[in-house]
Amino acid sequence: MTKDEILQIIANTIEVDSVDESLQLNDDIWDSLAIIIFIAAINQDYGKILDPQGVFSAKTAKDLIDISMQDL
Amino acid sequence: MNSIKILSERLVNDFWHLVGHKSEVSNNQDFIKFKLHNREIVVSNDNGNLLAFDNICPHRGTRFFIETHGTKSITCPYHAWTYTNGQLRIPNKKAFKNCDIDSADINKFKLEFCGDFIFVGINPKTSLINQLSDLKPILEDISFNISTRLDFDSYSFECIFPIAIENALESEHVEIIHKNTLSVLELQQEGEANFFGDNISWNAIVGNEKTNNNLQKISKLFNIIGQYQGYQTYFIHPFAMISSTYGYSYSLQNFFPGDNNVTNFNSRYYPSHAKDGRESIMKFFYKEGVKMNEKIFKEDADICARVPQGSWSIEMPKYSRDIDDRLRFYRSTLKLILKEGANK
Repeated sequence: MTKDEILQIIANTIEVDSVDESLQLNDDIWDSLAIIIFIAAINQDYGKILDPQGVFSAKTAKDLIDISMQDL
Repeated sequence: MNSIKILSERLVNDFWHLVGHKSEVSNNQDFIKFKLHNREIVVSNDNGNLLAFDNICPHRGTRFFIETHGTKSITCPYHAWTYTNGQLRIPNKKAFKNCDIDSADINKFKLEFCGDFIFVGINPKTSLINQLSDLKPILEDISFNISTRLDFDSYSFECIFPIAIENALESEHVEIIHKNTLSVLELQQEGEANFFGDNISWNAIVGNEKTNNNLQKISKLFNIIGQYQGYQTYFIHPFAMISSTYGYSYSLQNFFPGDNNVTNFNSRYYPSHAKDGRESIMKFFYKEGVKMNEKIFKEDADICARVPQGSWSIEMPKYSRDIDDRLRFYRSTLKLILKEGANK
């Protein structure tokens, strides 16, 4: 799992071509469905199940990278 | 007697009522309770056997249960009369010499299943199969999709039951009343209504493209039987509604007649079976779903409370949109029942 791979999963989740670490996860793009899609993608690609509450609390794409790469 | 009172009595007594799902009473002593017109009905698990009965002890008329649901023995708190293993146990029974104490029993009602859905009948004039008509196989599939119950909410709508049900049967109010909740799905207004006996289904496409795409994406987390990729509601005559978006979860709502201008409302939230290992991922989604449904039903309760009893009549509404065929169908059904009873 690399930072770029996670950024691509975030981009796929919110249906844009690419994102960078500074992306702000506001309510318009980061709703409960997006959270589930992101968690399911991480689970499918890396077999890891992220804590939904942690993903919900993330404010930026960097937060999501940190959460995803925790304990690796 | 006014028409609402006659209708309430006929609908309550003469028809089957969808009251819940087997998963809610899967363990010994699990129970759910409903207020249906002027009586309370309990469905309880008695060592693996489900039974429905009046929430009144035959001894002195005390209510067995106060809570709407839980896990407790059927024991009267007054003198400890207890129903277990199919029998009423009476403490110090020998002391009741000059009365036919052996005839004492709880007042049971009929109970049947459609798939894993539980139906209760007080004195139904038709079979459950007849009443459900061609909706039966659809309801069975839905019941098998359900994994458990996450939420049980119960309160009163300050209006008569047809006002609450008609509100659930028309989509015209959605954009205004549910502006920040249900409306975000941007449901196709016309939808597609189908009629099965006295029951109604309605399918509507989710018009919000982004939400619809996201809903499609999580489809792989589930094994939904008979999935409709959109929003669906089912009116299960005479008092139940089931609604669902993509079948990922189901909401059951009961609009039972209450006393004096009140509808006894209760709602349940049932998640569907997620594929192995995915249940924990979906927990967050379901939590949000429960919150959203609570808001939607409160919005409905608030607006229904503004419609006085005198605003409703058994006649066709004077003004209704061409697409509100569900509302007109419901009213014509009630009119027939009022005129001819359950054997219409």
